[in-house]
Amino acid sequence: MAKDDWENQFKIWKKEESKGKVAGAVKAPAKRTEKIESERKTVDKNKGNNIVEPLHLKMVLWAIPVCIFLYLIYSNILVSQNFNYFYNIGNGKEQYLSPAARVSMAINDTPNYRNLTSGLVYFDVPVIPGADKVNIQIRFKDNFPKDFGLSLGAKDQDVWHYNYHQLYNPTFRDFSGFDQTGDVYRVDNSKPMVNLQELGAVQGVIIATDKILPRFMTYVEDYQKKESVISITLRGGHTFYVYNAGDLEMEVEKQDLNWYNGTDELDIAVYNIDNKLITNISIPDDGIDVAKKGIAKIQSGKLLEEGLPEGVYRIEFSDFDGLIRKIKINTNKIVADKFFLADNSIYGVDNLTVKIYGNNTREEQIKLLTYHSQGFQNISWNSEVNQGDFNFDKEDESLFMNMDTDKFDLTFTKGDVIVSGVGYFAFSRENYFEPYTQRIVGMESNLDWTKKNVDYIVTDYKKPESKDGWNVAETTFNINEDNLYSHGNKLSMVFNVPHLGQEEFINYTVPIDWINITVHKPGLLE
Amino acid sequence: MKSLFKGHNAVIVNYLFQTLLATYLVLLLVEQIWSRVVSIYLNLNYLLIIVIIAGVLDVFSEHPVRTNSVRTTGKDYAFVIILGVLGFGIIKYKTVALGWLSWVISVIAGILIVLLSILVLEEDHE
Repeated sequence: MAKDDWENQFKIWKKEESKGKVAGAVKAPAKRTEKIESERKTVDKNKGNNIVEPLHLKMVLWAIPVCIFLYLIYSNILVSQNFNYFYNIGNGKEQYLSPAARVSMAINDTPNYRNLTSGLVYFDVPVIPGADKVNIQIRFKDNFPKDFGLSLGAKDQDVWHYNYHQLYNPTFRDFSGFDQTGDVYRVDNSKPMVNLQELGAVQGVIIATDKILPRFMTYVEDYQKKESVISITLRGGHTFYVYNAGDLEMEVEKQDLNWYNGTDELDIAVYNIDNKLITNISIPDDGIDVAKKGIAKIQSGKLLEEGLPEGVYRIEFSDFDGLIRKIKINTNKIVADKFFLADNSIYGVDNLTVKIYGNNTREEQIKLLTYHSQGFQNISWNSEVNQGDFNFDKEDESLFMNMDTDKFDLTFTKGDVIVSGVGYFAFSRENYFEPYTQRIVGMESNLDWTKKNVDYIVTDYKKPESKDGWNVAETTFNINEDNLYSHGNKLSMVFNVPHLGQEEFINYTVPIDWINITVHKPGLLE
Repeated sequence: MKSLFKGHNAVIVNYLFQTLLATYLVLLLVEQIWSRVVSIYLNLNYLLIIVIIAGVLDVFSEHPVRTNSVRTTGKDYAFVIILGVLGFGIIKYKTVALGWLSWVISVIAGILIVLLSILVLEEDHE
């Protein structure tokens, strides 16, 4: 065949091959191509790895991380755990308590210990995610003056605020005379004996407690959105309760006293019935941060919160070295649980006759206290059935006025008097209202006062065990129920020893040997 | 350099090291996001020591020589982007207190993760 013929034949073949018309010879290369391609992939896959590890070995090696993760899931979620931390306070190496200035050096004795030398001493507790309870045991020595004790606080807000449990109070051992159901002690035998769950339904009673109890607010029928102005001078921190619906507007005027070094900001915070912070403002210091008595300028601040649901709100004025000169608020219902009346020349303010109003649900005592003789006066009182005078003439000592059941008013000719009680006080009869169905007050070490003013005591206080001159006290905090606040997985705790902050007890200390902490984490399988 | 492990043993050591390293890194990440979830039950330092030992043994083991590179597929790119998004999310979560700056840090970190991963992938491909 001539060369040209071969070329022509090739061209025809090429053309027909591209159209797929050439049978047999075209299909065979495609199949072979697929096979070759498959083998190439296998070779590529195993390229350089002419050894393939068996599957069972892979499974064994994968079992390691799987077991680790299963163990973590088991530990974190399924089972309950107790984590124990023992702080040997007397051990010189570790310093668990702070600030150091409020704690002595370690004292080498049997046992070794440190002394608390000031009223507020802090330590941290590691809190595991998911933990629900913290049990604290403390070994200490009874070195307390009469009517004073020791309490332990756990932080329950992101600001400085602690939930306190009584660790030791000599007065509390006298509860044995009261009927008891669980943590509830009945002081007034005319009231029903109830347990803690039933107590919430008993209205119009006064409960002394060191726990946080649920509060049930009252519905106020004669509430009006009407401006109330309190032009009476008050000193320092106060807690007001207001009834409000919709917008809450308040103007406050303050005046620093500057009796002590330091700045004197006034922080005002509004909380709802669930203790949730609604809003807050701060009126700054007047610019004088040294002790300089004199007439300071009056500063003002405004607070506004819109669209609040109808109900009771708590307004807290922080304690500061100054005077609250005026409060203007858009509600006709505002009461406080204590007034520090300050219309007195000692504070650079003219004396002013002030009348305050209250309403007793039972026979109660009004507590009166002044730190200066300028507060001495004759106090007139009126109730619906009686009236009289009370000679208030003691300095630095609480005096008690017995007050009948029902509405009453007290007239003060001048300020510099702290007025408190188990009930509420207002500056006008219209302002007065009962915020809650029950009155809840703090526990007092004065048992006589407790018997005369309180219907129930709620506490889980247990008398410490004593041995060899040392006491072991124990208390448990419930992280969820007490709404405790931890930061960085650490819960801040504080010892509160009130007498160590008073000058007459300046030489007192509280020896602490150890702190034993157990943190409980529940599990699904508990 | 003489290899301590060869053949099957080298493969086992290599696989063990990779598994332990990945486990350690995941546990470290979990601990960073949810503090004390791991460390309270498992001391990661001990695991780290084991990982290091395995790594050292792996260095002294025989490794197969790669003649051809692996082709980068769409799945690889998708995986890299997922990792970048995950990295962005984790860093954003941990730096949320910084405000607007956390957005900047997280976005840059996410982009870095994606770009570096693609760089490594492409390098293998070349």
